[in-house]
Parts: sequence; structure tokens; C-alpha cells
Amino acid sequence: MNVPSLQSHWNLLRAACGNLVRFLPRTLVVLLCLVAVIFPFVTALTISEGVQFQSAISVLEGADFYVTGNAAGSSIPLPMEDLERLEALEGVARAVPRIVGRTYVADRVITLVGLPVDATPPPAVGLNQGGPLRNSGDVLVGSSISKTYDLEPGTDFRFPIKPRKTFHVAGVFSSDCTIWSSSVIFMSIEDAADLFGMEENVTDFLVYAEPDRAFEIDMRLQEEEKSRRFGPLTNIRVQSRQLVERYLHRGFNMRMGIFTAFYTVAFALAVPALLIVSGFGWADRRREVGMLRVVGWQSSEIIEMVAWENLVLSLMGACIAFLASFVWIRLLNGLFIAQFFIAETGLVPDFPVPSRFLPLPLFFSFLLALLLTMTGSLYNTWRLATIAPAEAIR
Amino acid sequence: MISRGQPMIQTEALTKIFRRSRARDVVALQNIELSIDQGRYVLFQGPSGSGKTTLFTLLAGIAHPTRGCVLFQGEDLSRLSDVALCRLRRDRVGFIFQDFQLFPRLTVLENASIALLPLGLSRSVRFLKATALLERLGLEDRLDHSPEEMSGGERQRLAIARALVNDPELILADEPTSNIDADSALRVAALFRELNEQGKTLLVTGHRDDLLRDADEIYQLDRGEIVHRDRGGAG
Repeated sequence: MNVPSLQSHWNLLRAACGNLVRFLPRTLVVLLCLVAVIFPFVTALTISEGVQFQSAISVLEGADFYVTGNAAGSSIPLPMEDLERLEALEGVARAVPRIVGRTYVADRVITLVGLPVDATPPPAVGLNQGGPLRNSGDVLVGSSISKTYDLEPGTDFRFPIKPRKTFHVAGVFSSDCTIWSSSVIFMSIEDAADLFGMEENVTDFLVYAEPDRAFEIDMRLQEEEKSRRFGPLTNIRVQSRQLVERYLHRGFNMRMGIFTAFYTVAFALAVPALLIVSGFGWADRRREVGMLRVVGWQSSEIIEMVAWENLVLSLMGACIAFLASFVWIRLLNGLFIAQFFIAETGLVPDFPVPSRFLPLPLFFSFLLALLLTMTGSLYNTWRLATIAPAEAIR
Repeated sequence: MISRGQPMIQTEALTKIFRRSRARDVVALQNIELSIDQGRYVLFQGPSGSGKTTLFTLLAGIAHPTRGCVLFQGEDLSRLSDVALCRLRRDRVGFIFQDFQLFPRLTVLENASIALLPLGLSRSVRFLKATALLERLGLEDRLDHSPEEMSGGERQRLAIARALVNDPELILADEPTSNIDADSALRVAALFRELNEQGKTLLVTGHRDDLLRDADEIYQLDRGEIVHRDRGGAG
């Protein structure tokens, strides 16, 4: 059996590249279609990865356990006095009370986080301007909020839910987690309690374990959770860091699932269109394939040349889609697509959309492109390359 | 080494029917019996639609007969695998079409060397081989041109170069002089004579006197049948 040499494969690859140039309109149309199909997929994956990554950082830098009140499966406030019980648990390094609430600033929903002054700002954020909380009414605002609403250090403002109380911007923070800087305002727990009317209550406790004692505390908290003896009247719910991580992934999987469902519909509509454009220019190709067979090319050699064409096209398509995705995220800040993955961002996010460019999406998009181009042209080629040459050139 | 006298190509009851519709079949060739020895120069003549082109496509193995068979040096083409048939077309048969069938998007040099591309030869070797042939055919100053920039005669010579690039034993030329001017036709006729003198078997269709003069045998076809066989001017 005559095995084709490496040189013959190289020759076929060069011929394939030559064909892409020679049939330029077809090449451009197929590339355009490939990019249109792949680009949203790559962009979505990149944003999803970025948001997941930032969220994972937040979880990692957060507490070991989150203790909330529980009534009929819903979170309810816990009394502040539970703090002492938690701190008294063996192995607990620190317990921090927290009030988390949401309110509007202008047209945007903002998350307000009330923490003890000595725990503000949390380690995951850094102050860009101004200083820490000192007086009642002081707040730290995220850099994106500061920029959007012109809340510089020293600015006074009011929340619509408590218009009589004046708040004072003490500092502006930024974070590795860009979503925080667009949606979070830190204040003292007393101010938060006043704002939300939660005197002597908190929404949750952050529990930090001593090194290597997380498991032990987990068991204790679970016992407390089962025995329902923790608060005077309230049941508690304990969520470990691992559990939060799991919820997070489940949430992302659901969002990715919704996006994938939309994408699958779009993809299903795009495939027939792509099959048509892949066949674009085949009248010329039909005669050429016939002539190649007349001069002695084997079916396998013709199919290999077309496969090379598809491979090069797919690689180009995937790279262009990846570049387009890069531009879309970096310059257009994930316009339209980001809202699938980040709640309440709207069509145009006003903070740097988290993104993470990984090789895997590039590889997947290449495979997707290859699947599309191969489906579009290989069958046609195989049919032409296996009929009598006289039929093909007729 | 080709030895004259051995049958190069034979046909047995070769029949080709084109199915146009259920009601009407077109019989292009009917029970053709041929035996052409190696090194012969054979001319096929006949009116348009007599089956000359169909016969040539069957002899070259680029179409399949409806009935009967073609034997190439004793080997039945219908029994060859697709790969073997491709090798035969590539290595032993050169086909020249009446309408040239060139690749319009390739240069003259690329057209002439296209059959060599999958052989594993480097680009320079392929082009060297094709250039030598094109020089011999007087196309040395047209190497980078597109076939569309050439005259009919030049295109015909390019089609001949492409057919000869693998140095085939059998050359089939379908009306090689019908679409070109008189000077070019003379040049083509002289080239065929030269090829035949080198031992190539030539099957040609056409009506020119110089082709008639050079041919060893002349077959007359009409309505898909051989109606007359004659010795040519050289026969």
C-alpha cells in the first residue's frame, strides 16, 4: 500500500490555503457566519468564567461559616445577643455580626453592608480615596458607584428609604471583585440597623474558625441547628464556605443553562444558513473536483484537501471570534451578553465586566467551527469525489 | 519501455446508454469492439453526437460503461478499485479535452503541475518538471499568467502540457484542433507526431488533413457505432 508522504500532506495543505484565497468571497462569507455563530458563545463563556472566578475569590476571602435565622425555610434576622454564644463556641476565632440589605440609589439597586467599624472595610477590598469609617453616618462606596453618582469623599447624600438621615462618604474602595465596586456600600452596623429598622438584630453572623478547626465547628453548629437551642426563639441555618461555593456553582450553571438554551435555538437557526453558505461556490468546485479526478487525484486526496481548508477556516474563525469577544468585553464591556450572567446590570454594564480568557473556550469554539464547516462541505466533497469524473465535469 | 505491437487498449461490446428520462434512453455507444496496439496513432472521426467523446471518456476510465468493458493492457478497468483507477489516470493516461477544462483560478504553471501535487514532490521539483514541458510547448513566457489571459492555441498547449506532465503511455485528445487557429493546429499536430515517434499511443478525434496523414488507423463512428475502419496516411 502506498502511504502518502509528509510532503504530499504539506502540498495538500498549501493547495487548501491557496483555494481559500482563490475562492475569497466564499471564504469571507463562511468566516463571517462562523464568527457570528461562535462569538456570542466565546463571550458568554469568558464572562461566566470571570464572574465565577471573582465570586470564588469573594467566597474564599469570606468567612468559614454564615449563620442566619431560619423560619419556614426563609432567612430571618437573628438577635445580636447570639453573638456571644457563637464566640463562646470552642474553635471559633471570631464572629462578626452583619446586616445586609438592598435599597435604591437613584435608579440602581445597591447592596448595603453594615459591619462593626473595626471590621470595615473587609480585607478583600482596598481603599482608593478617603479613609475608613470614623463617625456615625460614614460610608465607604464602591469606585464604580462613586464615579457614576459623583460620590467623592466628603460628599453628603441620603437614601430614599430614610430621607431624614444624612450619610457621608468617608472613602472610596475598589476590589478584585469588580461587581462589588458597582453595587456595594459599606457602613457601620449601627447605621445599617438604623436604616433598616433592625435594632438589636442582624441578618447574619460571619464565623471564622481557628486554623484546622472548621470541621469541628461545623459539627457543633450542625448540632445547634438540629437541636434548635441556639437562639431564644429562632431556628438557625448554617452555611459553610463549601456550601456557599456549591450554591454559587449551581447558580452559575443555571444561568449558563439559560444562556445555552437561548444559544442552542440561535445555533439551530444558524446551522442551515451555514450549510447553505458552505455550499456557496460549489458549482465551480464541482467541475474542479471532477478535473482533479481526471488528472488522477484520489478521492481521499481531494477530501483531505477540503478537510485542510475547513481546518484552516475553523482556526481562523475561532481566532477571529476570540478576538471579537476580547474587543466586545474590553471595549464594549460585555454589552448585551453580560446581563445574562450578572443580575441587574442592564444592557450596558457601568462597571468593568469580569472576564477570564481561558484556552478551553478557544478550543471549544474551534471544535464548533470545525463541526460546522465539515458538516457543510465534506459530504458534498465526498459525493463529488466518488462519482465518475465525467459526471462531475459535465 | 513500450513495445509496439502489444494491445494497449481493447474494448468488448462497449455500450454506454444515458438515461435522460424513464421514457427515453440515449444510446451513445453500442457494442464497440476495438483493439489498439501500443505505439499506434489512431484517429476517430464522425459527425457531432456520434459518440467520440463518450468513447474517449470510457477508454480513459473517467466514465463507466453501461455494458461491456475496457481492457487497459489486458486489465479490465471495471474491476479496478477507485484508487487503482486514479493511479492509472495519473500515471498512464493523459486526457486532452476539446474545451480544455483548465483551472481558471490557477496559473499556467500550477495548471500544468496539478497532477503532481499529491505525489509528495516538493514545489520546486513539480514546477521544474512542468516548466520544462511548458518550455517545450512554447509557453515559457506565460508561466505566471492565468489561462483566461491566453489565446485558444495557448490554452490547448497548456491542456496538452497538463496531460503529459506524468509522461503517460496513452494520450487521448478530443478534438484538439477544433477550437484553435490554423498555426496552433499545425503546432499541435507536429507535437502529436513527435509524441507518437517517442512511442506514445495516441487516440485523437479530428478532421484535419495533417492528423489524417499522421494517423496509423482511422475509425469512423456514427450513431454510437464504428461504421468504418481504414488505414491512415502513416498506416
